[in-house]
Amino acid sequence: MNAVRFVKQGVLLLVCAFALTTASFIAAQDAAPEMQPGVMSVEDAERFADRFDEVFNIPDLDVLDEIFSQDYVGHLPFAPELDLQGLKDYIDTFRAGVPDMVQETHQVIIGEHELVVRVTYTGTHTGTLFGVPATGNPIVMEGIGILRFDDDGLVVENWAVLDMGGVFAQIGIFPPA
Amino acid sequence: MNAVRFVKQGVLLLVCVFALAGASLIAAQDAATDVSAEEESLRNVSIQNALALTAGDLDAVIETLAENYVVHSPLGDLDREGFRAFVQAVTASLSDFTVTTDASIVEGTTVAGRSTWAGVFDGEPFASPFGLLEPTGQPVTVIVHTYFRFDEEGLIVEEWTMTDLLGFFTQLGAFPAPA
Repeated sequence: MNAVRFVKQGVLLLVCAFALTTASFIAAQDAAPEMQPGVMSVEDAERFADRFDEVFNIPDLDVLDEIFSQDYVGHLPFAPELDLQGLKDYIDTFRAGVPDMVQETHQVIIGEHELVVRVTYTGTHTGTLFGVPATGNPIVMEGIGILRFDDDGLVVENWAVLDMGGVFAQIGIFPPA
Repeated sequence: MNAVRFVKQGVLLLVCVFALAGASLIAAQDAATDVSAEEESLRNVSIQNALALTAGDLDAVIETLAENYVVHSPLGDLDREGFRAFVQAVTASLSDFTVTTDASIVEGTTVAGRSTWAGVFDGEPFASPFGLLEPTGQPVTVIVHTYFRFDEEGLIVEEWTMTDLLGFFTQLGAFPAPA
């Protein structure tokens, strides 16, 4: 009788230990994505979007040093690969042609390591843009960008598609689409 | 002795039940931050649509669009028939037409993604906004960034798509490559 009880207790313990291990394992697996740095809360994503808007709307290119990594690589129209300084020069080129340019962020999607932003740039063509002197025309440029974050929560890579064709049409390089 | 053993067993069981309940609760909480099955199925629709376009099954893609579907594109707003006409024109002009999903990110009822449309311009002349373009026999590649918004029936009801149309028409020979 004693031996039977002992075996029963032992089996019970083993089952419990097994169940607990399995449950912990499942919990650990589920917890893994949440624990990974770079996965953003809605609040963090909104804070990032506000800071990113400030780059264009204050405007303050130095904000890029706080929210982008020094190892940043960008893939933009006409610029298949540029670094952080390259991005600042890229924005400066636009600002020279459209000094009052602002960025409006319409929507942000939160991914595992990335944000996808849907934005519109608006302003007035009062400087030289792509070699075209000021026309005074309003500029509206839609864009969708994917921003990939590193473990420190900084943007380390981004891919942007901007409606350059629309801008070319708006400044009269070719007939509107 | 029997009673003591009974109590011991009972306590052991209670501890186990409590621990299991706790672990399950933690697991459930963590799961809430993951991509849900619903989100995963929406993401799958956009991935399957890319495969269907590559396979030439445009009808399968149209079936995933709501009746009041609208896509906001650099070419203007297109409805379901407008989208069908655009894809038909592209696939008539490009052979070996493929759509590759490079990235797909889902949150709630929105799926955002990056895809590559590619083919060889050796088919029909392409009616561009800049006139009829004759086939060049050259490969064409265009990057597309898209936001798909799904309705409660799991159909795509609104889409924002950003394409490098300038690059696309330049590759099709509409104008010389920008300096």
